[in-house]
Amino acid sequence: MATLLALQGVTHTFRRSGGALVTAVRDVSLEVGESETVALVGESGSGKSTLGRIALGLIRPDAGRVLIAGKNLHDMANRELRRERIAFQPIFQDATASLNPRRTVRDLLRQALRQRGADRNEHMRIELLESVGLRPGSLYLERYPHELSGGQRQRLAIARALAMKPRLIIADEPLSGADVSMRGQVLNLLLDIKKERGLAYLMITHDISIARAFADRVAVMKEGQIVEEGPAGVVLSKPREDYTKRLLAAVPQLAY
Amino acid sequence: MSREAPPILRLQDVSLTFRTRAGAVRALNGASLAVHEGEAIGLVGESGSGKSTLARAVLGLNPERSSRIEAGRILIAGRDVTRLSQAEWEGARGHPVAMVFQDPLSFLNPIMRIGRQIAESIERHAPDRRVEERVGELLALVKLPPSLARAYPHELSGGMRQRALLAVALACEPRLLIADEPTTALDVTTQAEILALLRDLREQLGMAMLLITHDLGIVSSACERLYVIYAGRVLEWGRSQDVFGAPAHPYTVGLFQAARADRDAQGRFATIGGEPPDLGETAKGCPFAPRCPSAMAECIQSMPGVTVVGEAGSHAVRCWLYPPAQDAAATAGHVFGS
Ligand SMILES: Nc1ncnc2c1ncn2[C@@H]1O[C@H](COP(=O)(O)OP(=O)(O)OP(=O)(O)O)[C@@H](O)[C@H]1O
Ligand SMILES: Nc1ncnc2c1ncn2[C@@H]1O[C@H](COP(=O)(O)OP(=O)(O)OP(=O)(O)O)[C@@H](O)[C@H]1O
Ligand SMILES: [Mg+2]
Ligand SMILES: [Mg+2]
Repeated sequence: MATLLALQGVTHTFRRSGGALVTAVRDVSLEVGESETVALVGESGSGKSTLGRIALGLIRPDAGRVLIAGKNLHDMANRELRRERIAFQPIFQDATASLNPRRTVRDLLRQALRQRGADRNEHMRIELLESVGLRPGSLYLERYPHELSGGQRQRLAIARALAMKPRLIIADEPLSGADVSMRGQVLNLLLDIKKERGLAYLMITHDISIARAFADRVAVMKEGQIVEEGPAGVVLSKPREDYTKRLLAAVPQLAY
Repeated sequence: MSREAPPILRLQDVSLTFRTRAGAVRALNGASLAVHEGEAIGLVGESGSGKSTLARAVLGLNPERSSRIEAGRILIAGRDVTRLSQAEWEGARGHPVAMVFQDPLSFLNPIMRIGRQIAESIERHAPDRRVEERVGELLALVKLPPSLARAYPHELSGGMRQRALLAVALACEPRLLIADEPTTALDVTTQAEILALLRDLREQLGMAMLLITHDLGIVSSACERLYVIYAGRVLEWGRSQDVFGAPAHPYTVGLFQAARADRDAQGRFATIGGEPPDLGETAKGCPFAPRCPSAMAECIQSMPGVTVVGEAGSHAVRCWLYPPAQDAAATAGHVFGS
């Protein structure tokens, strides 16, 4: 399996206003192979989103290398970088912040499809919306992001990422606002795309059932470091670290 | 808990419509519910069913220009707030209701330090408090380090933002906290801590809570009663043990099944079949009828009234599978869950 994304010894420290120095990511190495799904789990503030942003080239790490298909991301010329960026699509934790509030749903999709030279007609846009459960799609084209519910906005962000036909999706809590039925629908869709197109995912999630259903490998982050990594079946059923055991433990169950 | 005093929150048949470029969206369609002092209530339903709209309506936060409450009343501690303007809302000091939003970034001020935002909330509520100290206490309460007081929202992780917003909401010591997906961005350990915190606050201060969440596990363990909403209508409500124990409405049944089910033999996740309704048209019948496995002719004709189900008398449903009682007065008390 060819390596699509490789993070090598990546470290990044923030200075938060107020003076606190936070090493959000500390000497992390992680690889995602062609059509592989890696789940990144860990408690709040452990550095997951920062690592995702580094992989997307949105944050330049203080140390370490980010390789895309073997090439150093930060050595690439702009045009090449832009091309690779399209192949790596993000779905951010906060969908509102990533969707231009002044664009209608139609414009947002048109723009995304154009990047791939694929925006041929309204039908494609509608199809895309319906594939993430926004049905009938025509109902949503004229809306602005703030005119959607939280879960609808998140699904719009997913539709937009899929429009670019990426090779790797870096998704940060992509389904945290979706109800159980919708979550099922979108996960089924992502599983299908994974099968059909051999798409790879780096899936940041605190939802262990998503990791279980989806991931080939699981990496567990704690205070900026990866403390445990391995095949999903092993990490999720026989965690080595106490920390991982705790993360897996307290899932609230239906009480009745 | 006294049932004499008016509930801290009551919605009576509230209908709300948004105007969009593509036409009207009726997000609430005669929704009713009640939250009593100190109670923990769950509000559940699929994405787009109107949960956040309902929550925002209570605080007058739906966009003034493009939304309108067309019918019904909203009462806070007995006071009618249905028609309060934005300005009147902002002037309402010592307001008994605070909210945690689904989407923290759009409700935290991006250019104000977290500590300042918490302080403003304290000052609005009780100007004479020792603000600095209280900010520290509130940060500790939501498990954030004191140094975060000087940070800006974009410098926080997703889960930290959610907790910061909770600190802002708790700063005004509300009698009712409306929490819209307050723990979605949190890992289970942090989530468990926040839920325990909310439980303590309810026990110590008698704070009531309206909890909106997709996580039925949380509702079943943290809420005494729940309301199930679909297409802007409350279809079923009752004590958690009754509703989870014997869900009556086929929609509720589907929702619970999807939550319980693991993947099927083909590795697919369970979903409720069919499409959520188009909120543009106001259908006469039950909004769930087009997707309902048990739909009958009358379901398309009209929306049924309220039927009390179960023995306890604290569980009610609007569904033609449970024909309404003849004596409407007998069920009237249950309409608002009192
Ligand atoms: N732009 C920034 N400036 C300063 N500090 C930052 C910035 N972004 C993140 N941090 C800090 O880095 C640490 C890790 O944050 P990160 O967002 O990576 O966590 P996370 O694992 O994604 O958490 P969550 O599950 O809550 O989203 C936190 O302490 C956060 O305050
Ligand atoms: N400002 C708005 N303008 C137009 N339509 C809106 C607006 N806000 C919400 N809607 C629509 O109203 C319906 C209810 O939205 P609401 O945000 O209340 O849903 P929700 O139950 O909170 O869903 P979720 O679980 O996805 O957050 C949705 O169909 C949504 O598209
Ligand atoms: Mg994060
Ligand atoms: Mg919502």
